[in-house]
Amino acid sequence: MPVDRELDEQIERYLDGELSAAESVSLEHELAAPEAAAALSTALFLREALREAGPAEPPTGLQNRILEVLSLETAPPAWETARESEAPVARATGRVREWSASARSAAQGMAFAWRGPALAVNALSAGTTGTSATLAGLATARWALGPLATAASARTEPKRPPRSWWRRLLSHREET
Amino acid sequence: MGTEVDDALLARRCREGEAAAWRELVRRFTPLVYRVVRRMLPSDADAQDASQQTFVRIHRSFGSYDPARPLAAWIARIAYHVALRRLGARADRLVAPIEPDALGELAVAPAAEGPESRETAALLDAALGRLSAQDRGLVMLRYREGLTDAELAEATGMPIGTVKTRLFRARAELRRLLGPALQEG
Repeated sequence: MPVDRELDEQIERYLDGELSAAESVSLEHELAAPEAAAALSTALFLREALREAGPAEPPTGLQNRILEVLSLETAPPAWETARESEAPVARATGRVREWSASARSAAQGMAFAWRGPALAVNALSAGTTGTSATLAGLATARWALGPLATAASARTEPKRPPRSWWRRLLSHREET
Repeated sequence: MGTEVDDALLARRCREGEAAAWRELVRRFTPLVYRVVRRMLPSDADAQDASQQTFVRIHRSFGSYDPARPLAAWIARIAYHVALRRLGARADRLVAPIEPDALGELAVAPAAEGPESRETAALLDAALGRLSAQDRGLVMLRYREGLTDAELAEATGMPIGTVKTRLFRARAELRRLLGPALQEG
């Protein structure tokens, strides 16, 4: 027998303990009627049966399979693990290279800073007039700028491999 | 983990990536997840796959879990939606249609030997099979897992009014299908 929606929902709330005291008393009066009483007993039966319905326990081994899948989710892939194991060595080597490059730059800068004042001293000691002073000044400038020129040429020109002894011997014989 | 920890503490430890916490989460909630998806999906194999998928989804989206909300309801929500997604278009249709006449025969058949509860369970199984997967999921979450209407609305993404309407219709259908058995009992 179909149950009125309002009655059905009142019964649900009553069984859930959501009705106030006054509402509960009012419903209990209504439940004296046979149809309402039948609706209540059906609701109780359904609740009880549904509470027990369905498989209580998952199949054996399901938890382990889930954990296995999750461990694959959390573990990094093999290639990433291999790369990470090489990284410390590569990082250390890189740091050494960076350090030595910084040290070189600093040394060149210091050399230039030191040679800078020497420029002035040299120019003064060589005299302020004439060709000799000019040549001395040019020599000093070349000397002061030496480190920068070297660095610039090193960056622009590829380093040539040393000549083998037999080439040097042959070229010496040709010259003579 | 030694003694049982409450869900809030467990959630915090899972968020921190503690392996033991994740093992405990799986142990604690596999039954819930399995019950929800099993009732919605047609086969046990489907339900086991869906259970695994659910936990993968839980793991990937744990950052979005709001600790102020009940953990069980959040997990049930994910399980419900995983099952729905597997069903696709079939979700709102009957998964295991059973002829009402056949159900009626089952209801009035002489009581089989064995516990009465087994017969009731079989009747209920058959009747639940007449509901759509969505409604079966709602009924299971409501009466088996004890979610309130508000929690159901949150778990399923349906407005609370829709949840109440669907539950009312599901109860009416179950009453109609189980009527003869209820009268005999």
